[in-house]
Amino acid sequence: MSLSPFDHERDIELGNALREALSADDDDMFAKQVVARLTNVEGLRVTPASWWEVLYVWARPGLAAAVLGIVTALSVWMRGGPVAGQPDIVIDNPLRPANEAFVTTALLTTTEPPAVDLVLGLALEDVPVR
Amino acid sequence: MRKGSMEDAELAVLAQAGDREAFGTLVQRYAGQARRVARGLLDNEADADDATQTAFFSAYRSLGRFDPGRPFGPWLLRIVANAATDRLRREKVRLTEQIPASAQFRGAGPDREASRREFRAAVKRALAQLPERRRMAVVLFDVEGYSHQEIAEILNVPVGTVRSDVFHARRALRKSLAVWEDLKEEIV
Repeated sequence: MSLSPFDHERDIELGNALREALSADDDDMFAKQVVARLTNVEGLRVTPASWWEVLYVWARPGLAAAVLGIVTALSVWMRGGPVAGQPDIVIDNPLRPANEAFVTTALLTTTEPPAVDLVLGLALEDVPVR
Repeated sequence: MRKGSMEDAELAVLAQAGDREAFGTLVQRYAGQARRVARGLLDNEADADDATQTAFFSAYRSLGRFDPGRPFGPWLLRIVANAATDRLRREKVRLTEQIPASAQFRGAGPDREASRREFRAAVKRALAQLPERRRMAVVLFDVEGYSHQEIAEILNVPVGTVRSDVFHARRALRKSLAVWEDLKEEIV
């Protein structure tokens, strides 16, 4: 059998030789003795995991979830917000009368009662009068 | 449901709740593997069994920290490997004479059982000459069939290190056991 550090296969022959050398004939008996001693040892019991161990177990997935959340939020925010250096786009209201500002000023600044045609023009959005 | 037919994870969950019978089933299931891993590291079989038992007790106490979503075998064998390593360091090993594997070879002879014993001893001696981590790596890979990735988790080293360890261990073992080449099929 050729030897290579990149070999993924077991070396069956060598494995069998090692198994033969290291195996005991009395594994069942040994296991029974261990279990019997386990039962007889006073105070031997499963120690529940402490809170920091539980926290440690959760820490890695928790941190990964938090990082993922932050990255997602940042990408959404970056995509939704204005891009630096680009002018804001203002869309004018196409229904707004062209001379509305002038008409409103005329109405507010005059001391005289408004002319009928001005009021009518405003109502009809025609605004012919200055 | 009989515990013998239950999955490791189910048994581990029951054992976590204090069911010693469930843990007993896991002990029976993994006793062979655990003993071989400990024996791969410790020359003395009694020491190896002692380390294995210590590891099972330790595993029982630590069950609360076991994640049933992960495989039980590598988790247990990591504890076994640690227990055996501790034992090895504490007792500084009873040094077996560093006799080359070939020196004691006397041929198969008429007594097949004797040859078999000699072969076993030669394999153990060859294994004992390897660095600790390589011993465990080759036993876990070629005997127990764990993947490089699983062994990396058991031994707490990178996967590349496991590959290298298995490769060097195999090469050294094959060299040491070359003298048995003609007889191994008859013996093993």
